[in-house]
Amino acid sequence: MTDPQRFKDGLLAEIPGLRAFAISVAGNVERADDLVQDTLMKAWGNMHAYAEGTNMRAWLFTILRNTFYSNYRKRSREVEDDGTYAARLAVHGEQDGHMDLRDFRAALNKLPPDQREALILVGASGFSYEEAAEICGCALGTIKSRINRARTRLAELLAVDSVDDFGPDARSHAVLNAGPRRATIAK
Amino acid sequence: MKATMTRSSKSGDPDQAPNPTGPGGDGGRATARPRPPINEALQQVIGAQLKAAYDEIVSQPVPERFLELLHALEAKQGEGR
Repeated sequence: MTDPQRFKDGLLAEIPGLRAFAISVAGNVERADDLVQDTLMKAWGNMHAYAEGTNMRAWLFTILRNTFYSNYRKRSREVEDDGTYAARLAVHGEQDGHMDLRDFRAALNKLPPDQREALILVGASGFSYEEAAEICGCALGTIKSRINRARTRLAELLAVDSVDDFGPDARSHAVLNAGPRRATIAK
Repeated sequence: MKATMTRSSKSGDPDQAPNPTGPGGDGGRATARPRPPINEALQQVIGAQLKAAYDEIVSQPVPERFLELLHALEAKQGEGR
């Protein structure tokens, strides 16, 4: 039986990582935080299914990803086509003064979702290839090849970006600067 | 400074067909990969930027809504017993 207090502390500790992953799959911060909220509620509801001492991060990332693919994907595609994702993240980068990360985020956003996801799980979230394969429900070799393709594509995109600066994307960055923040507490 | 230039001025194009015999007597050091390809350096930059972009979000404080949510879930759990 899982101890609720320890379970809660475990969830709390994973929220920052979940948010970072959620932003990369969901497309923007607001949607990502809704996704994290759904994930936390599902996790809480399935507390009994979590075996204490096993990898809670991987378990939560799996829930988040499954939630996204069953509930969020259609909605987020519209947003992605807008270029809003890149713009959102760019605003973020500006606030934190990391200007050179804007190019990187824009490039990351151009990757196919399955490649971006694999790259982030292994290259940023710190999962092993095996764990990433499990989270994504695919073969180890699939994860490896997605990551390889993601790296190759990013290298191409960034090499181009450094030459022609921002290109047509720059417009959307300027337009979508500040929007009102939505604060939904509970559903 | 001058010493570092000797390799490039000496042996022309390093991208030619690899030496098939390679008995190992003629300066084995130079037959190994001369330097990492540009791609490898770029991959390191990409790896670092990926981490930086991610960590920027990870390092943000946990939004209040999640603290409230967990608090509410915990309280509800207590009631239900």
